[in-house]
Amino acid sequence: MTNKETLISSSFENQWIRRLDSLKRTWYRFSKNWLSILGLVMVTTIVFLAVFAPYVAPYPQHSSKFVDFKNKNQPPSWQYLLGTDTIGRDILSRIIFAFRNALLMATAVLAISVPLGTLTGLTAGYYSGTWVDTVIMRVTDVFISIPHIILALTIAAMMKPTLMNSMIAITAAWWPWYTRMVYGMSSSIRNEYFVNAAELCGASNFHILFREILPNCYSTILTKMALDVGWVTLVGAALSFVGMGEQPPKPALGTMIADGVERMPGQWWIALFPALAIMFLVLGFNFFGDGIRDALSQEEA
Amino acid sequence: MRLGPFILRRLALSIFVLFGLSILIFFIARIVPGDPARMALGPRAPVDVVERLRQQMHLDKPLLQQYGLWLWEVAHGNLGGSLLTRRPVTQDIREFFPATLELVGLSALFIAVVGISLGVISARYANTWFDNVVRLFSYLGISTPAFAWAVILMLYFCFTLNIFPSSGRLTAGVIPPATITGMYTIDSLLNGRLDLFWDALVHLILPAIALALPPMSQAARLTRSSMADNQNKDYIASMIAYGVPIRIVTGKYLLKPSLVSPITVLALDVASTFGYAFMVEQIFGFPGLARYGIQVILNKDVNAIVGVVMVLGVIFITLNIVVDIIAAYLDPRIRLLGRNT
Repeated sequence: MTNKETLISSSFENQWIRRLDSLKRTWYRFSKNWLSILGLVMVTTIVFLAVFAPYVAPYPQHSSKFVDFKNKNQPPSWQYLLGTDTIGRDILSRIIFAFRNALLMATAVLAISVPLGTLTGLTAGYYSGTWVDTVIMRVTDVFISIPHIILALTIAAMMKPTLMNSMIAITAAWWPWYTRMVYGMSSSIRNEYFVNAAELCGASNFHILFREILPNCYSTILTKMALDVGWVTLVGAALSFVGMGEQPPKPALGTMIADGVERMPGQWWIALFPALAIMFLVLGFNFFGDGIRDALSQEEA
Repeated sequence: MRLGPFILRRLALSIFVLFGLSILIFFIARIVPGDPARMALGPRAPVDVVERLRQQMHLDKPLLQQYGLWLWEVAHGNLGGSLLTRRPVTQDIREFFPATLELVGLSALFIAVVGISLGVISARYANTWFDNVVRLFSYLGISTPAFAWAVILMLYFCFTLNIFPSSGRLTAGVIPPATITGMYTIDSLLNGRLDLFWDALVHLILPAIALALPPMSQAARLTRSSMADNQNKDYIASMIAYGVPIRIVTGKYLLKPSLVSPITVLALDVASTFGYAFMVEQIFGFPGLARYGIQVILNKDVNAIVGVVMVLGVIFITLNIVVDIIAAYLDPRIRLLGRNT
């Protein structure tokens, strides 16, 4: 082995060791706060329940067309932990299956809005002051002028009420927020010396956008994504509350609450437990996201 | 830049946004699958009648011309007729809107006053038991959507404790006060009917708290972190060293710069409460814009949906201007540089 090769291979190994090391440190900072760990446990539980729903739900067949009038409106008991609804379906099973759709929705919405928002934000920020910036950011301003819940409601209201369409509606309302966030970072990073240096070296625009600026935005984007899983679920539940999104007999958290409200106070469990389920999910992702923020932001400091 | 030119600049910018919003909403209204005229008249209407309505609605013209005609009407305060109630949309909105405005207004008051005070106190006594309780509750508050709060509050306060009414704007059978603004609390005060005012307020409080809880928690959190950031600045330390009383340092010199970022975020949060008001009103059987809105959505009443969103859009943009002016007043850097830092 020549000298040069040793150098390269060792620096390559070093890189991996360093990465592993920094990962360990990040984990250490993350685990210092017990709320972050609680968040991680909650998130893992939710993801586990959602992925293995057919195996962990006590009554998987209750997640769609199923009627059992003999056991309708049962209060919480050992047989039905969270009670049954007006046509005898187990509420716990339905919540578990609703988590599945909620996570599916959050994944789909983020899978589109994050790349779209990042790309537009990066571009507008790098070309800040030019017409590219003006066009992208004015369009974003218009989207941001109405709260995303209202924009999503409006768009969903115009289309057929399906899970797919409510995902489209939420995505349309969601991406501009990523654009604005990434724009803020990108337009300030573009004035850093390392970007100037890359420009002077004759690096391509592609290289500067994706290899120089973007890596500096990763931690913020990642944090927002973790938090947003909760928020997307919340908005999704709001849409399904007014009858948009997954249609009955398929379970959706919002629909379950809306149905249960009519049964209050007699059958209080029908509305209360789905409401607490949303609280659990959003709270979990909030703790988790804040933990990630703390762990990653100290990395830069 | 003085405050005057700043306001002018801000107004010019928002006219642009309003214009953009009208384009956005117009095109959203056009993504409805199928023919709006056919949908309005039902599947059994004769072809020539549908064709006539199409012409009336300008659906036969090119898209750009349709937009122009629509904008012309909107600029003249005509939002078209509701296909559901067969009345002008503006009339419907005028009838249902005051109730919602009353509800959102009260919750905005909660958000601003309670949220910001909690944040200030919690920053002042950082890392004490009070601070920890506020932080824990604000986590819970943010993570639970308003409609889930509505369910929880209703179960506890209306059915378990029985101290608040669970539905309506007034006790059944009570005659509402003479209409002046349409908002029962204000109307009853103007009429000098304190009993009615109390009745309306009692019906309003629980839904308003449900609506306010998430943004209120957000406000408390933002104010706390912003105060905590500024508490460590040198100018605060030097003031304390000079012997300026802590109360004045906090209330005057610390609060002012610390309020800028929470207030800008709050504007949008208050605006979102209009969205969540839909669900909370539904739960509390509160006859505001929500009942109308949900009917309209279920019936795909395009004109009404567009009308409601357009009115809300104007409110949001106004709200944003007001907040930006407050921010510019609080922080000279904003009005001097002409941008929000």
